[in-house]
Amino acid sequence: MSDLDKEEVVRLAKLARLALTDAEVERLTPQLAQVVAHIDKINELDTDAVPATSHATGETLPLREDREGQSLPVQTALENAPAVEDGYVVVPRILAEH
Amino acid sequence: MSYRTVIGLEVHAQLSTATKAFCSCSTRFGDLPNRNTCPVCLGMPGALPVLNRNAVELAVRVAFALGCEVRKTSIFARKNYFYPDLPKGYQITQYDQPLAENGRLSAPLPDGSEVPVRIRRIHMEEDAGKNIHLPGGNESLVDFNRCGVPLVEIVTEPDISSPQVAAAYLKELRNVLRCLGACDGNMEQGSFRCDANVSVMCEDATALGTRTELKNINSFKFVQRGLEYEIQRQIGILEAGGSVVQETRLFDPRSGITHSMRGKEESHDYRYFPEPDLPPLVLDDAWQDAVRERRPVLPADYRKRLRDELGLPPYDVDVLSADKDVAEYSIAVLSHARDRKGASNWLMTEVLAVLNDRRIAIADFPVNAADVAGLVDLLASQKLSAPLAKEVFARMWQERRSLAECVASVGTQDSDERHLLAICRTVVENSPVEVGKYVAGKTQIIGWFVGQAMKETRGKGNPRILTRMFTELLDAGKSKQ
Amino acid sequence: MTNELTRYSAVAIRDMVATGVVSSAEVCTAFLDRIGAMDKRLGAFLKMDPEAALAQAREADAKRSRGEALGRLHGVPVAVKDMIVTRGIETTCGSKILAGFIPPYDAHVVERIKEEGGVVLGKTNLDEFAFGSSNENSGYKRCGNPWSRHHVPGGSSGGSAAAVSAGFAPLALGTDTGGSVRQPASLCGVVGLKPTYGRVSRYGVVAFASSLDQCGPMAGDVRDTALLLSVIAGKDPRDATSADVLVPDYVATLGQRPGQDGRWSMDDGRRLRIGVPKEYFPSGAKGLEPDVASTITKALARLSELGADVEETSLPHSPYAIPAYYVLAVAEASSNLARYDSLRYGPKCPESARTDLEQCYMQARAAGFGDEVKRRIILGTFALSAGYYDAYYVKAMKVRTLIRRDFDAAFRKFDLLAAPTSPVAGFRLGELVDDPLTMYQMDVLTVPVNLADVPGISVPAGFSSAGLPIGLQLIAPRFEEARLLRAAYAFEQAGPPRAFPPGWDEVIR
Repeated sequence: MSDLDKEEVVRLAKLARLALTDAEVERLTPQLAQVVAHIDKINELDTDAVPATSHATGETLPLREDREGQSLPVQTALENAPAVEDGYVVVPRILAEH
Repeated sequence: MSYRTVIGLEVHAQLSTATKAFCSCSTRFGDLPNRNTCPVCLGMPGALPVLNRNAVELAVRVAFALGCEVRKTSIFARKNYFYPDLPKGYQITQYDQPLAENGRLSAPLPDGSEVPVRIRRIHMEEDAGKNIHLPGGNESLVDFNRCGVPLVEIVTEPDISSPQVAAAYLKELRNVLRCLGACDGNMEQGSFRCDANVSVMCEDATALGTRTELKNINSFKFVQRGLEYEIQRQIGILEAGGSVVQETRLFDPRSGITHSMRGKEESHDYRYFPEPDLPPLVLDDAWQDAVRERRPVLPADYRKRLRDELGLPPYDVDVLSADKDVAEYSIAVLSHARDRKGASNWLMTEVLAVLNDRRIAIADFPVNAADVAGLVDLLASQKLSAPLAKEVFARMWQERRSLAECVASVGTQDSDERHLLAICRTVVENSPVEVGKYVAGKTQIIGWFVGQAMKETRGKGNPRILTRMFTELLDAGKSKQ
Repeated sequence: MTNELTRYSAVAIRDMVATGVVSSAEVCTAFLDRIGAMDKRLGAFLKMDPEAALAQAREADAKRSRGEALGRLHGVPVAVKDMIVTRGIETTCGSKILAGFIPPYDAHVVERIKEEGGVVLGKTNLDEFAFGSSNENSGYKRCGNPWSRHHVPGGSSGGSAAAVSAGFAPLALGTDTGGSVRQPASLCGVVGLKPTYGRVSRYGVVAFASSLDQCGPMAGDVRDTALLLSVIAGKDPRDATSADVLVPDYVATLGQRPGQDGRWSMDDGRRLRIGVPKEYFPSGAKGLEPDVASTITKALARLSELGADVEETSLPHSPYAIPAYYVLAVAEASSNLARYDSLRYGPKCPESARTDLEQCYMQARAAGFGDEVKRRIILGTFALSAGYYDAYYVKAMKVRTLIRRDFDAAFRKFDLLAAPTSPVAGFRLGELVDDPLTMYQMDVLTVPVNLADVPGISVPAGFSSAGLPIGLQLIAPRFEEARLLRAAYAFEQAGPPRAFPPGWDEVIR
């Protein structure tokens, strides 16, 4: 159904923020293409009249009371962060707005 | 060539819940950075979202107030993108099957007319954290306190035809949200944010022009100015034979212009899919009816009362309905007062002046509505002169004393004609020069005479009576000559 | 005595501790010593915190001497798959990208174990982020199969399965998204159960595929498995997908066999009907290994002898399960793994990338993730991306509906389904590492169960001629774990006693 070629793999990797070396692209592309070819099997089925199962439980969403609970102490919240300053998480400079 | 403007607005409003959308961290604004965080809103491995009931209720209240159909079943979705203030790498929002659709809001214009704006959809989502960019340097700082605060996104159809209407719509929307208690509408603090989509088209064209998106407008003033600039910019391009580029632009209030946001050339592929961690939200009829019954009073309701029941003209209605608390106070005053127009004037000039000067809210204004009504009626019945009335009012709010006490301390207007006549005669006798001027034809000098008499009576003289008496005395004197 | 303690079941250990025959500390020490002496050969554990474990054990002893009420797991050590967060104990999900991550909270299932007096022994090895069927994708070290030096333990809960199998822990927690509890249980000759989706809270279970993941118990026998399930099952308000369904006492209901003649029957007295989907057996999709086929044949015979009516049935959409799974699961996974970006936890991004945010993301994730993770993220991104979403993700969701309907239809006629757990008795280390598609086929018998959200269990059924364990899989309707466990128990009790892997019996001196 689709052609998962090297260009596509590079595009997808970028979308997923994964840097791939040329060697990796070489190696992974045929593996991925093979999996996609296998996945294409689902297109053998006629599913026009079939509803999609998007939620496994078949139940409805339970709601939570709007009551303040226990937040983490700041130190604990940031304990695992590689770079912290004055209670903020430090990240490489953000250039563009989102 | 004349052009038509087409504007659509998207508002993100923070819901006034105590806790976040998906966890029980506080939504308090202004706390120390990362003070209100937990594994869920920090996007830690293994954390899961659980939806805040109050957020749903407030969102539905908004939907009903905007005349929308609330879906019985709505679905949450993931919007996937990478950004430091988005810890999970996706935002939980709604895409297909949003909470509500197909509503409308009438935006009141200053001249009293109303422009209907269709609401395309309202959906719930979570806010992201806050990024702080340090000047210079290679780093930014992130505070996740705001991350996870519940938002409603309110999207209009492109029904708005001018920046003026856009501003009116936003003011009204903000007012509605405040009246509902759903959002505090604080644009500076970021609890009410607006993005605008704007395009122009030739008057006789059928297809819409290319639109640009104006982002993060954080004041009403800037909305109008930004849109005005952008419209002119687009017209300029088209007149020069060029075409408008579809892009996102930021309005810079200092320079008054919009500029393109760099680095956003590629459009995002958000890869929306239904949020598997949150089953469908089902709001059955019983639940919806209960929310409808709890509906608080809306600005349109206030306007109706002020205009139809209390008979105020459009300008007064506009001014007094701008704020929910002012509207309620005004209605109370007007309901007590006999001179309604006088009461309205007093509210608009005297009361609002105090609120603005002192930067206080009407909730903190120490004079009760009945006393204001009483004061206005005293003025109308001429028991108090205008200057005296102001004096009484000043004592009431500064010294926090009742109307009766302040009137007593200031005394009422003197309308005793015998007393006043005596004073008038004395003034006339002592002012031959001025009498001469009057006789010579300078009739305006009557005001001076009245002023003198007022000094004699320490402001208590009834100016109407004094004017009549002086006119009679001086005219009589004239005819004698 | 020290070594022998590690041979006892969890129930036996608990009873011995409760009656004072042995202390929790002694029990804990016995297992810690065994692990300390032998795990370097096996690689079942990624992280041990012996001091913390002993402290828990001592507290359990103190509790007992204070005369306090004792929990259902009092004094019993439990190994926890490193896909489940444990407060204060490094949790890596088998990935470099979480190296050094110390969670500030316990998963719900861990809280439950502690509440019932269990002792968290350590974190077990796994395929990175649970992506795999052999434990070879672990970002840290290999895990072997106690039954054979050359063969894989299965995955992704390879470490948990191997730990129980080698007597390193009487109980273990695994996670199962496409077979990751059942398949390694089968390959390592132990019991592993995947609960109904929603039966056990996922709060603190690191997400792979949110609509498929379940945390499941693993143990040396069915009764221990039932005990652990009783402890971890139940609604948790912190997981909006956890079900509000009563948790029966799974242990107490095990031996129930209502029916006058002592033969196996349902509550209403009629015989248990067990369906064997022909797509799974004997064909097993791509074909079963002969030893697997013959072992399962014998297992089905045993079920018949116990009084069940065993009949062929069909789950016609089975051939589409693996393709649909490798769309749905990887799509959800690609989104679930977006949070691993080196900014809030895990190692800092490489030095060269620190000044550029985009490079920081790209390099940190490239360095932190292994090949299989990269493959699945790319595949998942593909399935969700504009232009492909309808053809793949939506289509797969529809196929999932068809598969669920297959099971629903089968359960209208049958009380349980039976099949092999794994198409092969085992495969060698390194054999399938470069052949992802064949590796995916190892899940062909387990994946449909996850897609249908029904519970399944693997119980040891026999051995291949090479001495590798082979498991029987039983499948029940939603929330019928009690029925599942009863049947598994009866099957187990009618067979030979539990076998321990040879070569792991040395006495600790």
